[in-house]
Amino acid sequence: MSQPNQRRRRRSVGAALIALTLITVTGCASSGEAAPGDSSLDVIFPILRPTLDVRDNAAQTLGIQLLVNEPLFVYTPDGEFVPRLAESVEQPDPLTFVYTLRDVTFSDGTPLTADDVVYTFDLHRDPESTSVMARYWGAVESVEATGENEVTVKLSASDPEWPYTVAKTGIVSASYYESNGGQAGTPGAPQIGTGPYVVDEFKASAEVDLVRNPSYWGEEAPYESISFTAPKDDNSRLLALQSGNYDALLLPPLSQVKALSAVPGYVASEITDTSTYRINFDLTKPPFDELAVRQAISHAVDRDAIIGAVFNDHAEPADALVPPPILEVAGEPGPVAEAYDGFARDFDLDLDRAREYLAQSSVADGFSFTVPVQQSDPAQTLIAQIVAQSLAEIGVDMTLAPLDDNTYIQQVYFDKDIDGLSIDSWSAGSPEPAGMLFNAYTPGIFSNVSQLDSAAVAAGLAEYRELPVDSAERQPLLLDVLTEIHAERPTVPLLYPNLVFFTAEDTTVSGLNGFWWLSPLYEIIAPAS
Amino acid sequence: MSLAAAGADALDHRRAVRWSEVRLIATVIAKRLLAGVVVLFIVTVLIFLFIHAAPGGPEVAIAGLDATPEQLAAIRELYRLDDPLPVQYWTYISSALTGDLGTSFMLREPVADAIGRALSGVTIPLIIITWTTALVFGVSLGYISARKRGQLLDRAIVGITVVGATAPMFATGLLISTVFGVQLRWFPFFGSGSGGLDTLYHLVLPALTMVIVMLASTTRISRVRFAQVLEEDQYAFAKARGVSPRAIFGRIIFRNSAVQLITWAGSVIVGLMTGLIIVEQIYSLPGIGSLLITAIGSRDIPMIQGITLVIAVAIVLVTIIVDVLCIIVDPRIRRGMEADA
Repeated sequence: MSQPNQRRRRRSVGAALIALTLITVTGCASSGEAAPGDSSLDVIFPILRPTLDVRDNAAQTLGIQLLVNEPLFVYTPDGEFVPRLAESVEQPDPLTFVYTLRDVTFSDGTPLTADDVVYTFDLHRDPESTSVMARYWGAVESVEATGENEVTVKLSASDPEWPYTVAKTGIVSASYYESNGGQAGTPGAPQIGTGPYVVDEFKASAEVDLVRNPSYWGEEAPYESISFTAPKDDNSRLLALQSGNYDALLLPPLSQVKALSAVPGYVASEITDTSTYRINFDLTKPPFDELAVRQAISHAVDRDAIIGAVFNDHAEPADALVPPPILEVAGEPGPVAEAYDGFARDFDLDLDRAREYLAQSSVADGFSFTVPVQQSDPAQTLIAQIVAQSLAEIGVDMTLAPLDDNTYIQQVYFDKDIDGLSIDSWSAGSPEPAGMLFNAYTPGIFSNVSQLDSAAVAAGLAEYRELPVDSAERQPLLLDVLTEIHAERPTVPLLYPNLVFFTAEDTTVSGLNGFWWLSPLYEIIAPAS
Repeated sequence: MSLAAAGADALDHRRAVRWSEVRLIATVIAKRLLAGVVVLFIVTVLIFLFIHAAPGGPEVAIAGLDATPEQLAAIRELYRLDDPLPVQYWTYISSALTGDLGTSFMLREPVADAIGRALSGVTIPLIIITWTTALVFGVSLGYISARKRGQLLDRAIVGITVVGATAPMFATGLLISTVFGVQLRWFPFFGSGSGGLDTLYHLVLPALTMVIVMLASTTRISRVRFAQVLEEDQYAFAKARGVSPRAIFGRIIFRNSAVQLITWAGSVIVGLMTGLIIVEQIYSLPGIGSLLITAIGSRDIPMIQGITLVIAVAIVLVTIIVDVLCIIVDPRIRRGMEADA
């Protein structure tokens, strides 16, 4: 933890040097000394978004957003939903949620009202919304202020992801948004909320400085300030850590973990992430519409080589799209491990079996195709290169076509304008065990890259939606669905990459999981004392 | 004719000459501005066409991977991205002519505000520091090198500056950051600071990186020109007549090299524009280069158009200023233009 503040003090020295050089007598930077016991948490973050508008932040960057804009309920590392801006929630029927709000104020002194919650929810569910979370609001039929401190949400159908959607939605001030004409959350109109921190300075995509909210209604956060910066390349990231000016470096590229581990004064915390690198087959495009071709490729890919060469062993082989820890939320680990072991046998590296399967197909002599790869993800390119080498062993010629993000997303997900095979990384948007399956295999949905249209899978997922959250049938049902999916081989799951935090030795890390960004960061990275 | 009348005639003649020079400069500026408008029009059309020819629209970057097709269609409708291209171009250019560069899709704020902040907070201070430092040191080293041409000092100056220039900017930045940022801890190498002196402090290493790259060419250009002047008869005669070294430098060496130096100084500014994109990435600076890269990646059409327009305007203005300064400092150019007219 940088005591307040090595960085500021250094800035001051430098500023003084320049002041002397320029013979300037005004504007000396203050030393920024803080009261004893106060401290800062300076974090190197993988990426920062262009705004702090709640519509523009999802996943990792919600970890910053939710420090300013609190949700109605917080999802804790223990897997529980704890009331935050809501005092309570009642469910008069399975599709209706009535939230009673806490009596708190925004950091500008205005009170939180039911209208603020309705306004926030409408930002995401408006048909013209630009929200990156809009998809999660599809099942919401209505949101109404049914009392001064009461909001009622009605769903059109059962949605297991709804509690997580609430936990991901930071509440904004309607009056602040209206008075800033759509620019709330920009550098010119920094975001405000009810949270433990307020925005001190925001530089789009570059820097976020937060300081404690002096009028916060809850328990005071342990750090006087938290800052986030995002280096634009690997060298900058490494140098930043070496400088000793930062208390934590979150989510570095796994190829860089070895180099970062050599920096003294930091401890690495590593767990399996909630994303999966995979090969997708478009089941509508020949020759990938033939099961034998998909089975041949499944046995030809050397997943261990990929994990070793691309990820320096900071990854686990994947046997199904959903990482096991996500399924274990809905039950015991045993059945998951048993089912996944069964899947694994069909992904063993076995070139003879791969050739046998290919010989059974209409392209027994091999075939050629092009695979798009995302330039922004070097791991994806390396994976594709290794896969190309593996496939060459069975007479399949795969050519790489590097694309920028937008073009890749457009071609692969929306237009499906590819030869039939793609490689990507797919993340769980929430801890909901079926979330990844809803995304990847619902017929007709754009993210169903493989265009799997299985009645059994659709029926299984529909049945799952109707089950109560605490039902013991959830995990067995999902394993059945995964078995149905596996039989079709729409995907070759390659690996689950690890998630790594480097933190200063004078901090402690606890409760780290793949959804760490749903909990306040200061609870995960806490001062050692 | 009396002495007074002769004096008055001489004064009138000087006034007439001065007036004709002013008219000449005004004509040059008017012609260049007209050409600049044509250039800007062509640039805006080309950029517009390039952006729209690229696959993948901004709606994907705006709504993210979880977007639904309906949401994407709504965003295209919201930003009128399905309008015919001539209609979209007219909407853009007519707004730009009134000073409205539109609203950024990604930053949710006026493009002019974001560009203004990037320019004033990072890019302009960085250009000024780099440009003045590169020119002052480059011209000084070029002069020393020219005076000592063929000698060890000359070879050392040329050699060192060339080594600096041939190293990739990324490698130079990395080395400088490691030495002055991490090891010596003299300067920050990350971000742009909190404004004012703190920002200047943060710009020291980025500026140094760019200066090292620009120094070789500046030194070489000035060395060549200074050496040519030092070879000319006027320099030898002035020296033989006992003209003071200061006057020789100011009136003969520097003045006769001024056109080349001014032209080169203009080129340096234009060259800095591209160098900025790299150096801003290395040092994570939120300047105009970073803004442009982010905008291109996310197909932020108003932002791309706004930044390219600003850069094009800056280059046109620099070109005009260079032309005018050359006319002012070198009478031979004026006479040539008058003869052409």
